[in-house]
Amino acid sequence: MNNEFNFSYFLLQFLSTDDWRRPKVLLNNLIGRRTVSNLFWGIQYGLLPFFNLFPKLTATDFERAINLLQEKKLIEKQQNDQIRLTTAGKQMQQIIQESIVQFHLSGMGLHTNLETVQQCLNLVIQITSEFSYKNNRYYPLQYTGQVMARSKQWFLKNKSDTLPEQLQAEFTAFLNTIPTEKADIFTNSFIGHNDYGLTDAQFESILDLTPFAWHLQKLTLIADFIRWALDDSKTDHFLCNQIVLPWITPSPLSTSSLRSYQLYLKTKDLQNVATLRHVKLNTVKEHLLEAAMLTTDFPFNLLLPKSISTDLKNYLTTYQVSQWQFDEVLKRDARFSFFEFRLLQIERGQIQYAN
Amino acid sequence: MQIEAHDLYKVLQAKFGFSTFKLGQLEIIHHLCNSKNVLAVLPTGTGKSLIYQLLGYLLNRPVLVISPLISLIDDQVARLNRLGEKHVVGLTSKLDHNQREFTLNHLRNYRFIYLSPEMATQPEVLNALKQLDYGLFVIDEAHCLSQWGPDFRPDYLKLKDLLSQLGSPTTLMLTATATKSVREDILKKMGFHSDQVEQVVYSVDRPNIYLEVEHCETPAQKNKKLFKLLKMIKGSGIIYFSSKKIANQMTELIAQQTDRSVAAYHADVSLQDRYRIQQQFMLGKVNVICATSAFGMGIDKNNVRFVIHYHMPGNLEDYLQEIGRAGRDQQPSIAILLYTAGDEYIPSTLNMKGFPSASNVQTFFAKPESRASFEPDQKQLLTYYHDQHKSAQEVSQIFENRQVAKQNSLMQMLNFVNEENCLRNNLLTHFGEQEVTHNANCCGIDCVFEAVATLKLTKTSEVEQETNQSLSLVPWQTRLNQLFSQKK
Repeated sequence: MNNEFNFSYFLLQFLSTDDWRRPKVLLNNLIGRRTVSNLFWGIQYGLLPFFNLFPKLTATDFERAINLLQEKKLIEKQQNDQIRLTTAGKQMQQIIQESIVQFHLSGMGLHTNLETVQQCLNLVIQITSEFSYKNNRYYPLQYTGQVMARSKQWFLKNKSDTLPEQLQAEFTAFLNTIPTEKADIFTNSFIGHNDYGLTDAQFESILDLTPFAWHLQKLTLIADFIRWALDDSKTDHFLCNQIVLPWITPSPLSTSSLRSYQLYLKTKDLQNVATLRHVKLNTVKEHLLEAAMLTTDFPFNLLLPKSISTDLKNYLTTYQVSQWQFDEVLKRDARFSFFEFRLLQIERGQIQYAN
Repeated sequence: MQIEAHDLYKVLQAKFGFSTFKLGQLEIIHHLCNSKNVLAVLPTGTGKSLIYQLLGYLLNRPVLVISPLISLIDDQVARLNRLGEKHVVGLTSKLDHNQREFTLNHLRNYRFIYLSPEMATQPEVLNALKQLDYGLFVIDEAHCLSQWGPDFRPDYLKLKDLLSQLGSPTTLMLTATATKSVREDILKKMGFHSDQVEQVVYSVDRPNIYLEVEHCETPAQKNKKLFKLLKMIKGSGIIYFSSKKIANQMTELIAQQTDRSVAAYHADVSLQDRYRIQQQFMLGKVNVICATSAFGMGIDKNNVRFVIHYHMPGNLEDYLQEIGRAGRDQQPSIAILLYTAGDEYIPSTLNMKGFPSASNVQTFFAKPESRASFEPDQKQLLTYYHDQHKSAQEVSQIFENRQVAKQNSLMQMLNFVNEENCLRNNLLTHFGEQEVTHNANCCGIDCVFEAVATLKLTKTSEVEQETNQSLSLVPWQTRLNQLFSQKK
């Protein structure tokens, strides 16, 4: 499958033969659009591990990929654009699964933009490499101002005669934790003094990978590096930790949602949070739904009704969480708000970060 | 300001590592030192940037450089960084809010400030710019000022006001290609009388580049000729395409069909890969680059032996700019344009698509709520004219005129392609220059293989044939030892 694995096939894993799904949810999760509805359905479709991993994906390219699946009769489309796997699509999905399992991205995109970390790492390595050769006349890689500035800050803070040696020791420690071939791949991409590494096209040719498979491979490697650099149990990664840390938000929640959630845990009063934060009550509810989806130990019991009617209980156990209809719930228990309905769906649904 | 020749050469050697000036550089520097404004037309590869960079070191006052593209600005900043210059900044949209604030607050610490005309006229930026006393105001790619030129940028028209708001410092307008009418238009748009500006115009001609147009009956024949050429011609070269997709496809085919090490180079290639390819090209590890014409390249490689146009450019100015990447070492080189009937369709369509339609202009002006849905480029262009209090009808007329001008430029390019006599004289006539005497090393039509042989550009040794080295991964431990010097 290596020779054919492309973005279209990659999308098959998020589709099902059982229900019609909205392609927009796939696109929005892959580019990292953080809305409650998008995250909720993204979780149902298994998209969360890949959230925000393709921030540059355009609607046109995405549509092209979906159309390709349709042309190959791997999916069928409804009038309203919803899509479903065909039997052939299901078979292909199973074949593709072999190619996908090797990539462990585990929702890293909720915490950072992997490409930015990669850029910062590239630049820091270039600067340190040139420094080790005592050369200050070279073309630095040109990234955004923020990447340039943070890389420079890192260098100025850590500059010493032993810096190259220390950084090499840290990389050695990391590379010893991953398979040799992966370690070779990781290091062969770097740009240093009189040494410009391999291009994407060259890697694809050496490893016999499609551009898309190579892209996923790169993302996995940088995700592995980030996890290692952030691992609190390690003591041998001081410099690498500093490269990565400024780009990471410790919580998977957005800053605003995190603030609302923390205030709620303190006050246990939604209206109070809204007043304190000068936002609408509905906004606070949206923030808490995000917290319910993305954090562990969410206090569902504080926000869900204490008791549920037998009629409603029967309904909820008969259908799968993703098939529950709010209208049907209202018919059986008029006290339920949409917020509580979604919260219950989240509580009962299965959330998996890791693939 | 009086500057001794001795000082000029001292800075030239110390900062740039050269012992002699290139054609035109010294003359322009002298004019500028005498506070004379200069419009300089110097062919590509003659070191235009060095002129103002060298002055930056002598004047000890900031040099403001207006440049049309972020990629060009980045490239110039990186080059100055490479020369060891730290007091240089590219004031572009790549800076985030804090960095921009910081830069604006510390503007006087920079020796070289690069920015686009759009950026320079933003109120906050303009305010900061006004605080400084400039040694020199530079307009790079000054032909963008002219509506008669193919690269007209309406934002360049704001430079006249900007110049006076900055206290009218000595101004240097630089371009590689400008006909007489374009030069006159540049001065007019900047509000200069001809007696206020020294015009230093050097011939656009590059005698060491042999010009060749090769007519191919079919696209298949074009490919066949291209592969044959790449098998026989020595040295490194650039092939220009008008589409990224075809550049990619041809890169693969060239790798399969020839022994060349080849890379595609265009806007879809990642930043670090562009860097790698540039450097590998400089070192000769990649010896053919398949590039798109629309994409600027920071490659300053002296020994490019050939430039091939797989697709024709939309005008002679672009053609000249692109072939100018060959033979900067003054050694014999060749520019080959491969043409198949109908090739002009691509630039013609691009010309037509480049401007908003009359109905879109109407909508933009009549319905402000529609503006968000416009493509950023078109939105910027329409906003500019809207702010100039033009009516929708006037704007549509401007676009129509521009389209006609672009189609005319394309026709001139096509005339060049269909020239039956001397290609060089066709080119020189277009730029208002005197004709030269045609000779065997000048140009040719449909005789590319003979020309390559005559110019002694045929591969000679077996060693040279073997450039497509097999690639492999270096073990990571070795790789780390290469990256970080092991010398204590």
